Amino acid sequence: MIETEHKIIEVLVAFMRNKVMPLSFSLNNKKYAVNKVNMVYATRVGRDKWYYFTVSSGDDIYKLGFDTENSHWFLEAAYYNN
Amino acid sequence: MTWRCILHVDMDSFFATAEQQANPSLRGKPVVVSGKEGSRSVIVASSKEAKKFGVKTGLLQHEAKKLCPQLIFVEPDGSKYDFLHHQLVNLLKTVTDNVEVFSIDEAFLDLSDCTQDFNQAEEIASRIKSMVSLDLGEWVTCSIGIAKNKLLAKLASDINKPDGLFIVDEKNINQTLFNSKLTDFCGLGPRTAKTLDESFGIDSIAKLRELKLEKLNLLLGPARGSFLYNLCRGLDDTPVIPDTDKDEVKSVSRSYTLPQDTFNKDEILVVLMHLCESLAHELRSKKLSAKTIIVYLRYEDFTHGGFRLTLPGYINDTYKIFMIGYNRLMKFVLPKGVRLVGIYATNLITSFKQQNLFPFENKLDQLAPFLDKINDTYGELTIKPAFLLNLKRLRNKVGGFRPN
Repeated sequence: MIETEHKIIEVLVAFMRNKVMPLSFSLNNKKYAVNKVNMVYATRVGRDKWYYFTVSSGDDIYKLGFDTENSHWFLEAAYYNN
Repeated sequence: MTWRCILHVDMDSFFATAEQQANPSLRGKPVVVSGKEGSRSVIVASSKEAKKFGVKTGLLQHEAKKLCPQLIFVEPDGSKYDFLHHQLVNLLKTVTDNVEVFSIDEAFLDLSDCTQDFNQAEEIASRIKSMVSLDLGEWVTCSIGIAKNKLLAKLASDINKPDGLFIVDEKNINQTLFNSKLTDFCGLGPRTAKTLDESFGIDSIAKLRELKLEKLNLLLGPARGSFLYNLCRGLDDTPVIPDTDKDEVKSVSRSYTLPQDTFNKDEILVVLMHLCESLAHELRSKKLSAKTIIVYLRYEDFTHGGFRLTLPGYINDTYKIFMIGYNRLMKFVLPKGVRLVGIYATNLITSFKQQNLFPFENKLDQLAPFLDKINDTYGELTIKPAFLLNLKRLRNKVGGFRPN
């Protein structure tokens, strides 16, 4: 099942050399640990640059976004495998 | 003889693999990148699992679904593929500066200066494969062909796909050529193969080789004749051209497949205006102006129609480009339902500025850079022609394009 939304969330990240690695994020008062970062890519929306992190948490996949213009993290989509 | 060593890197099922990399639940499953499931889009890319069912690029969705009922449809995400492409090119440039980007998922590397034999090239190829998995993701693979020229290197990368590595050297060159179909070669498409077969009874490399150059030139003309004469012998002296040496842009185009076939000209004009806005924006951003504008229509039965106009001067203004299409379309009786609308600007020059006859046209020209700047800053269609008030952004199309 896919849920698409654009919801501001909080993400705990680690800065490793020149990489940013999401470690966990909070959604609906629940904390989700990131098992794996599957892909990182960027896109431009006007002058804003958004970074996307598709991450696995348990069996589910989440597409997290980071808006560099206002430093907001948001949840773009969730793919639930259960 | 001068040592030449060319390496061709071809990403395996690039778009589909990128989606499987991003979403591990898609891995090992037949996945295609296409428009929304049930729409009229064609298959843009298929995963290696889908290819096993015969699902190929260009098939219509219902045709693909017939071949593989459990097919999973993923909508294209151009920014994802573009980002990975740039990652790949940067990675290849750590090997050599002589990298020619052939398409979004293919590149040639000239290793002549940094190798002395194919064993060294093979080591470099293995290193590239490891770097691809490390940088682009563990599910992403590429196939690599190594040979003395681009023709053979490209042919070689198609052998042992996916995740293949094949070297064409002096020992196996003839066997490789004779085992290949005519259409396996870059530059020899199905149409030429059909002509060769139906008109001259040539259906294999062996038969093609039997013909002398004079005979081929006589049958197909000197350019095509020489090309095929060299092709069947594995000869090719075209150089690897790094990006910096590439020719200038020759044309700019946009097209869109409508949600359903239509005779409604208003519907077509709205799409045409959006395409003109996008095309004109690209022309202006590249400081180009066009002398020839072509509007093309694909009908419901996949036949084509349209108009072509070569102007006395050069233009890059949205409104002027649109009016060419508008004026012609309004006088035109649509013979069939329209499936696809496209616009094509060619005959380009850089930075042409013509003084307009009417003052209001000068105002439009002066306004355009400011509108472009606003849309660049805040996103496409932030300021748009009133004609497009009720239109949302058309879906980003993804094809085998060569990125900027």
